Amino acid sequence: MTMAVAGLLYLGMFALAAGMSRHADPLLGARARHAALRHPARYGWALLAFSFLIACLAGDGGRALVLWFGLIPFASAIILLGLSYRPAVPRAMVPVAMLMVLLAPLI
Amino acid sequence: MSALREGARQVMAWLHGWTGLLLGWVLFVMCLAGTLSVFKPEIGQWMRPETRATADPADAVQAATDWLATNTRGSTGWYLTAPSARTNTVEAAYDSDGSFVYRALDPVRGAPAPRETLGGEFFYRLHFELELPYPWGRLLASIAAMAMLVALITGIIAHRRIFKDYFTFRPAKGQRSWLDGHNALGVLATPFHLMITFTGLVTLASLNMPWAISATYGKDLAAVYHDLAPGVAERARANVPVPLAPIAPMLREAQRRLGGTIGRVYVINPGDRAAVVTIFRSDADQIGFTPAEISFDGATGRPLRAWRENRGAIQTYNVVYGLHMARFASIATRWLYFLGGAMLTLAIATGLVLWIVKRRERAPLSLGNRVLERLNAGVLPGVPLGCAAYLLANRLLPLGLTGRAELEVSTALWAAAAAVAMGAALPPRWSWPLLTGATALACTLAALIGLSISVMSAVLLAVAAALALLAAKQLRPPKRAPERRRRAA
Amino acid sequence: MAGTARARAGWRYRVNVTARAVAGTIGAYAVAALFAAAMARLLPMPRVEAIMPATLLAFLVGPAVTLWAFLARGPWRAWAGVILLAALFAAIGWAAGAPA
Repeated sequence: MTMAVAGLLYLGMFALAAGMSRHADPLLGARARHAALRHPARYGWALLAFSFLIACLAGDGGRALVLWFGLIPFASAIILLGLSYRPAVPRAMVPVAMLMVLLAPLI
Repeated sequence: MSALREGARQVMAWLHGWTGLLLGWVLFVMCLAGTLSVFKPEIGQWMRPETRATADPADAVQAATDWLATNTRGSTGWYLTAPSARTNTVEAAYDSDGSFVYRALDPVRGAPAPRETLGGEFFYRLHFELELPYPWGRLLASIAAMAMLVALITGIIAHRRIFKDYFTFRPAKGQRSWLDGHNALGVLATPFHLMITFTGLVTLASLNMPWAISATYGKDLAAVYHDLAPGVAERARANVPVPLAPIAPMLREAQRRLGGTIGRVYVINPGDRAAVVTIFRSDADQIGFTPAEISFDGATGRPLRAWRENRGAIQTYNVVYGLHMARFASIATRWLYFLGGAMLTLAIATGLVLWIVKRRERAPLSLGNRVLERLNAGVLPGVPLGCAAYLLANRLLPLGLTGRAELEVSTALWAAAAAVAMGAALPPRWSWPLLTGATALACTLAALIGLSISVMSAVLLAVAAALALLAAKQLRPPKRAPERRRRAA
Repeated sequence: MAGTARARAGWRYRVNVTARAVAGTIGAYAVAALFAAAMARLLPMPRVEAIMPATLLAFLVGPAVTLWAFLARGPWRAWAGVILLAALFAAIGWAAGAPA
């Protein structure tokens, strides 16, 4: 459950960053011109909202919600530092985050 | 952007700078100590490597009270914290012959751990008392926290492109980089910073905002305490010596009635006929602090009163309090608290550095700013050096030394003082790498002496490596910043 | 607050800033304190419960007054706002009376 929240949050942050003109190229590269990835920012906000919803419905006395707020700086920092020093890292984390979301219901 | 909005932003930026400057160094100490306090029990364990035994919490508290009964005189109270998943010792604050002491008690023998140390408690106290006597330390901390709240709000308002610049960091560009870094550290964790500052103020509210209480209760503090925690029984000392009844059955009964696990155990007037044992449910069981308590008659073990908090307003307050203390947090959340605290500490540090860098790039520094530059160079690497010296002293001071715990603290304070003096005496170009390097060395030595393989030693080595890299960077001659047109902040 | 270097050094500026600073620190704290007292007495709940929202909200009132002290169009207006709020909360607290 934590994994799903974390994965969705990261994907949401990544999408928001990719939606900014100055960050789109290093993050999306050639894919930036793909039609389906227009306006990634909208997907970003949706993913963030969805991860927040899952955290709210976790039923563990608010702990997941606290975790959600705590993951924001962590996910954002990976992308920020990656953009400044090694864009490959935040790009590589995208499939990892997707895996976390897909595996979460199985654990 | 209308002229009015721009004017307001400039005012906010001005206020942000000044509130940050006036209390920045105090806030730096508080945030660093607070960040370290997230792992207070783990640090305590690391600092008492000889004490490895574990015991059931009820048995451990029994052993502790047995030892205290025979080894203290004239106690008015024993304030204990039961062992938990994070710590194997019984933490005890108690008085004997009039003076209060703090010890970690072995869970099996009940006697104090052989390595007398404050452990993580030093960072915790430094965080909200700043090593100053009551109430001045807490008052200063309160004032600083209020300034921090204003600094956060004004910083948010003053920031022009808070969303557009969210993922922006441009390294190696002088003032631009420092500002980017300061902004990133502040903005990426803004929800955390606002939460931790607000909740921190609330934890000290009984001292810094008692007016709601005084307006409704007057001076009747006993009534306040009684209404807040009805499960705590209070009665006057009888001055008739009666030994304390076995405490383990009381703890098991408390666990049965309150649910969850045992947290704090207060034994008031031990050894007296009117002794009271109050047991609180663990603060780690839920976000809210002090959720339930039960009191027993000390001499007979008979339950007196119990309470499970169900009043909405008070539960809200307990949750606010609990969010600051983070006792509820899982290991992942705890590391995120640590990350947030580290980011806030670095935000303050970069802000203080930015004050100087911004002015230095415009014109040669005024005398006042040169003093501030040296103060930065002494305090910002010096306080971490003090913390590292504390840990190193824990490894080096011989066991069994009288006043060992106080000596560890003195080492920390003198190391920090020496660092500030060095920052004042040497040009910043030398004091920065010297002090940063010294901190790296202290962390390395603290991790390697005694060769205890633990997560904390690994963390210390990682910190040492990062600091060593930083010191190396600081040794490089300063680049000439390219001539820039003056832009509004 | 923007102005020429001469304006910054002038005594008028210093008085302006000092007046706002006092309003924004001591004044803001006084308003927050009076707010806490008034709210605790006013709220229709047992006093032990009333002190909670009163105190929590007071910590939001304080910074708000600090911002007002510096955003108001002049030091006189800054102080007028502070005194007005303080008087208002003091009056509410006095009128509500101490609980039985």
